Amino acid sequence: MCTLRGQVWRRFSRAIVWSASGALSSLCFAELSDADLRALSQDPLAVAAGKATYQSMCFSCHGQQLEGGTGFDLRDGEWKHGGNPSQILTSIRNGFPDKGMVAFGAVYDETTLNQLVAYILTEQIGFRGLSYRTYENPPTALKVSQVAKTRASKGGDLPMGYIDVSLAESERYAMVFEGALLVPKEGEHVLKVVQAKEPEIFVEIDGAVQTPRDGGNAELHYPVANGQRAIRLSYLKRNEKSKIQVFLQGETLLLPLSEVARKRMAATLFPVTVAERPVVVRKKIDNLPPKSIAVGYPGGLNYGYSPVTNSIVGLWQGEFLNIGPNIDGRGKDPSRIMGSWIFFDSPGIQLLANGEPVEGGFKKYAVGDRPTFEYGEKKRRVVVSAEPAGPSVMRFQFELSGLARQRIVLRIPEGITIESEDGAVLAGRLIVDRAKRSRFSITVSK
Amino acid sequence: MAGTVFLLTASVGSSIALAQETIAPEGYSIRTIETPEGVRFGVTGLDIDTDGVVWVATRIGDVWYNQNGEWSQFASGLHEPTGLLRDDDGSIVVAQKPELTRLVDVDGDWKADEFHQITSGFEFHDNYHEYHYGPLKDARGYYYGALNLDHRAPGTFSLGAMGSSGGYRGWTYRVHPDGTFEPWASGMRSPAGMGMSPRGELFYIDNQGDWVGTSKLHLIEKGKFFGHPVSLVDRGFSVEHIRGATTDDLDRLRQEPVVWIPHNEVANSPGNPEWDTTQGGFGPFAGQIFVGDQTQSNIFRISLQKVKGVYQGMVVNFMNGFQSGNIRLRFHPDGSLWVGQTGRGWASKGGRPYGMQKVVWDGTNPFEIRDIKLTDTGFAISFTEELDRSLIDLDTVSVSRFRYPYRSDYGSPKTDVEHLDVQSTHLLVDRKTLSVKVPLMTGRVYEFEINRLRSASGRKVSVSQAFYTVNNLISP
Repeated sequence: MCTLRGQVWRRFSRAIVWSASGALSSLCFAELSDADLRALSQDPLAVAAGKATYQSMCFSCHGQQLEGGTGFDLRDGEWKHGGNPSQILTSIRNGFPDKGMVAFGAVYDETTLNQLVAYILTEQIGFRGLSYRTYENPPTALKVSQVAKTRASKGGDLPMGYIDVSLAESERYAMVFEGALLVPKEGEHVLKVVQAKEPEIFVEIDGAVQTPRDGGNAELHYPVANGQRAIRLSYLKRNEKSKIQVFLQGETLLLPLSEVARKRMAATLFPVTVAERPVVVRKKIDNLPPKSIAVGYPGGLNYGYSPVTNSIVGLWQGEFLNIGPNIDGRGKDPSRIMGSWIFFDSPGIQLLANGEPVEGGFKKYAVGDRPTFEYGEKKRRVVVSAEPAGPSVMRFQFELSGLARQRIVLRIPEGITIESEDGAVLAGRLIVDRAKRSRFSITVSK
Repeated sequence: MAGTVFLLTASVGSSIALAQETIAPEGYSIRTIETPEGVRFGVTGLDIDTDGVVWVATRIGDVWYNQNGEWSQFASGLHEPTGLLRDDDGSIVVAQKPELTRLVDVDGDWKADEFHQITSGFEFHDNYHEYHYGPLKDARGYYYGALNLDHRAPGTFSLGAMGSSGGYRGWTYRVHPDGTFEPWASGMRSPAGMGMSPRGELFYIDNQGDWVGTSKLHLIEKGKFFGHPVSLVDRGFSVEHIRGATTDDLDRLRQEPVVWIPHNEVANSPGNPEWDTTQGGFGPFAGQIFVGDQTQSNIFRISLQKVKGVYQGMVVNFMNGFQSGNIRLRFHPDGSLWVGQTGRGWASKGGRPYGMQKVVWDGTNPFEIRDIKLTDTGFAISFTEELDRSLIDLDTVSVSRFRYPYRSDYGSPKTDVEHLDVQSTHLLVDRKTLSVKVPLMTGRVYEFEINRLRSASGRKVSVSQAFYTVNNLISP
């Protein structure tokens, strides 16, 4: 039985429209062309359906954001088994049973597989059609802004989509890289160039010369808009120490765009895994405020606690933390969560007593089966702990002493759902019932 | 001035090669401590209790202890600790980047169950260079720590390489027994090692860089300023005020170091000062200070002399050839000197990324410069064995002097270098000490080179170069 929805289908393949009755069901399994699949990726309904399928099955190996896990990264330009839409479809349909990926053609119908490919196509990021030109031993007076206008020594394609400055052969050289950069459809992003001195780098985006922001730590940040952008990056190697790493960076994304950056990221994978008991880790963590403490639970639910604001500043699903970037070299880069955020916010979920944070400051945390955080004064204490209440739902418990006469309210960040039997959620706040002022709990989910 | 032959302003690199030669005082050897397999064991916090249990904090964030030769993990998950103290009650106090923390084993299973915040009264802005050193504890129960400046943090206030985003970066603090945080002294750049003398005085060692001509040892006293100006933002000065101050203005606020530690020749990135309290159990240097260096993978000695109430003294190399960067030293009750090492981020001559070693002494008396003390007319250079008097003449010791100017540049060459005429050299009655008469002045580092000297048994010193910082003279 053909399960394609004619409405979606009709737009992309007139040849099959007439088959919606199912009379020629064999045609339903006729493979879509690359163009058909690309067209399908423009259809929001098909993409949404593909996303739902992805999140029900594929994410466990390929990551919530397609960033890879035990399976490959599905967002970059590197496709081991072919990156054309029809090749991706074939890979999903037939699987790689000897590598641990089942043949999903036996699990899903063709429509579902097509939608899945459509979704994957919309999530592509990084360089496509990247090319390079080198200029060996350029005149010393040559400015980096003039390199692209100069006659090149040689050039070629970079099919993997990584800027590679090692392709030049001389001690002194310049290079120009040009390609289409696929930037995620939402959020703010920057093209990040690390360990560069400003005169050596010249960036044009969609034909316009860019002025970088100083990102600290010898980083240049070039804001880049969503969608597909034409990038031209000129690079002039001035001395032995000149070297660059290029990344696409967003609030929750750090994608290597150069060979050195790719190798660096691969070398800086140091996951902190959670086995039988919760794990507590303090590190510099991307998106969490300084001094935060991270707790990872078996089963893949994790949160961040700030001892500065005594609040829950992040919650994420999936693997715990990659501390590699924070323990590599001088440890300039932050640790990164290995799953996907349910939320991050500062001050986050914060308890207020009569409208104010409880005074007295952070006191201690305890490790064990149920880590606890304790703060306040001797006579007014708060103990916060948590336990998973579902794959993506965390239950936080607040135990209070000396605060029974105060109005207890929880500040709730936007974009998350808080439920509690111990109070009423109103206008971004949980107002704790008078009777629950010594102990109450909430559940937090997306 | 009598004795002054000529004046140079450039750096004299005559002894740079020395630091690369093998320095191995007779009777001392390096033993490598096996560390847990597969564990990144960069030792940046080290203490040893009276039972000989060795406690370490590792750069990745673990705390381990070594009992009867076996390593066991006590805690994990800390944020790049760079100091550890085993407290009197058995708890472990760790200086980690965000706070000073007490690790408590509540149920007696030799694992930390609770992590108490002793203080977080300073700010940490997630910059990699905002290290937190210490902790030290005095006899009255106060804890002391020191806070590194940041390096190129976004929006930081900087007048060179290092900056402060406020919150007492570049300060020593102390914490009262009741937990009160008290800013204590300022002007530190990279105070990579703190130490407390047996008399309870607090010292720290700063690392060469901007505003620090070469690495140096300071005595820490309340309210003092050690020279790095950006820390003044937390002393009531505005950024504009500090930017507008001349170097002379800042110089007037500044404390002179107890000793200067010449760059490359002795150290580049020294760690904590560790007093030899073994009373001879570690050889003939009892009472002196031992310091490891992260870059040089060596250990050097400092010997202090108080002249008119002000500390000054000798710096001399001791031993090199360690496997990684020596950043933490601590004496074991058995008399051996344990060495915590890391080579990550800043290369070390030893080359290994991390590890532990110890120096053991087999009882052989080495032949070395034991000490240098200022006298009325020059210096008394004492050795560990009687000298062959037949080789002693005016050329036995060459002496020069120089200074390190106070300025914003990253490090400084030796400045105002003068080679001095030695007016007399004679052997004192103990037959171990040379009295060397040379012109004296304050504000100078004196450099000594021992030539042709032999001990009575015919041995040569393994380190022939030494330095002495003169802050005060005995006679006016």
